[in-house]
Amino acid sequence: MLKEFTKGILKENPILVLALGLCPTLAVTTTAYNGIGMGVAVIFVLTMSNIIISLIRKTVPSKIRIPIFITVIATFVTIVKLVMAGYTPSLSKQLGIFVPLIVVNCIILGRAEAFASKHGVLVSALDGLGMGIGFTIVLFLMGVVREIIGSGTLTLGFPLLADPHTISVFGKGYSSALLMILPPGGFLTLGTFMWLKQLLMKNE
Amino acid sequence: MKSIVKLGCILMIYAGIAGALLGWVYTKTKPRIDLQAKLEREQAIREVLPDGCKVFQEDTLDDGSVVTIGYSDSTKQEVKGYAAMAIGGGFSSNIRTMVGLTPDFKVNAIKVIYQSETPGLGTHSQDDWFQKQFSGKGKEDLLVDKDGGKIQAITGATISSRAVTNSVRAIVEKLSGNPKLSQNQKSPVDTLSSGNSEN
Repeated sequence: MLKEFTKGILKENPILVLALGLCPTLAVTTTAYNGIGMGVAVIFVLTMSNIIISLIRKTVPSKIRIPIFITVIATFVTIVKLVMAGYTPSLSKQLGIFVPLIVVNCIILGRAEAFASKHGVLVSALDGLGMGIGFTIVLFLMGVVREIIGSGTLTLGFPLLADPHTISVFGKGYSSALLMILPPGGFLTLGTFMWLKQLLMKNE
Repeated sequence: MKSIVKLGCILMIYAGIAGALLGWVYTKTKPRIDLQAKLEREQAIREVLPDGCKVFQEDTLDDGSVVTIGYSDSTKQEVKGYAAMAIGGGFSSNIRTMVGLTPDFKVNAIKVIYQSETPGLGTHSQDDWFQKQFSGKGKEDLLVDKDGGKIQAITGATISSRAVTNSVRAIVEKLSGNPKLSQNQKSPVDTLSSGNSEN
């Protein structure tokens, strides 16, 4: 059972191995904090939608499972968005654009289809949690690399627990490599990360 | 054919449940969301108006836009400043900026309230250094440097910078050209001179 949790972190990492959810990965990792924010929102939605889809999996006809899964995910994302806007306005502002993006993040549908629709509630929850954490780690590391090179700063924080705080890494005189926070920088970083992962895992 | 109807009905049931749930959550959260938006707006107005504004009054201009007038006390004799919302079309969003003006229609401060521009580029329009540039500027200076003005554009985000700057300038021009408000401009002088004559 523990394996279902740990597999998402490295062995079946959603970004580096499954290559799912690349669009938000490239779009939001311009700062380290954005990476964490998106990751936390995904952990939450992925775990919850896995639980609900696992619960209803026996009542869903296989022919129309995809629209039903999407309905569940979109409903859940909208609820999260509304509740956040009303009760945690500062978090809602920080994650503003990322939350609606989660609906179109193919990790969520991918896990619903490949795992939660075939497994029990507890393992599905663990799968969602592990995949979400694997996603968050990669997003955070990509954000760190891109922000340091692209802006010369590092913004750290955690939604709800610690407000984001920006520190200057190279000082004022650093002329930032703007390419890194533009989309090409995202592709370069992602490619390098995938290569490094393959290099590290070569022996297995 | 039969199966299509059956599947359609099942999908409808799921969509119906989802819709009902969302409707319920929406009605429950709506008052809170509106309240947060109102608080944020009031907070922004307080931040951009000049110091010494104690009493606020909203006024609707001829074109339907709302301007908040700040007075020094509840007698509403002396106008201390104006605040109004500027909206400019940026690169990927309509940027909303609260603009605070002094009684002589110079910018006191601005605060970008909403934008969803490119992260790392246009989002810097919410940074302090960018917003502080506007303080004390009149309408002739309110252009980005590329257009011959005195607002330094954000590197790599000229469109966002221009959207904010031009929308702020439009507000300054609109309010300073409004006869209803430019009358107010003289009122502090009037009260001062009448005070002198009494002495």
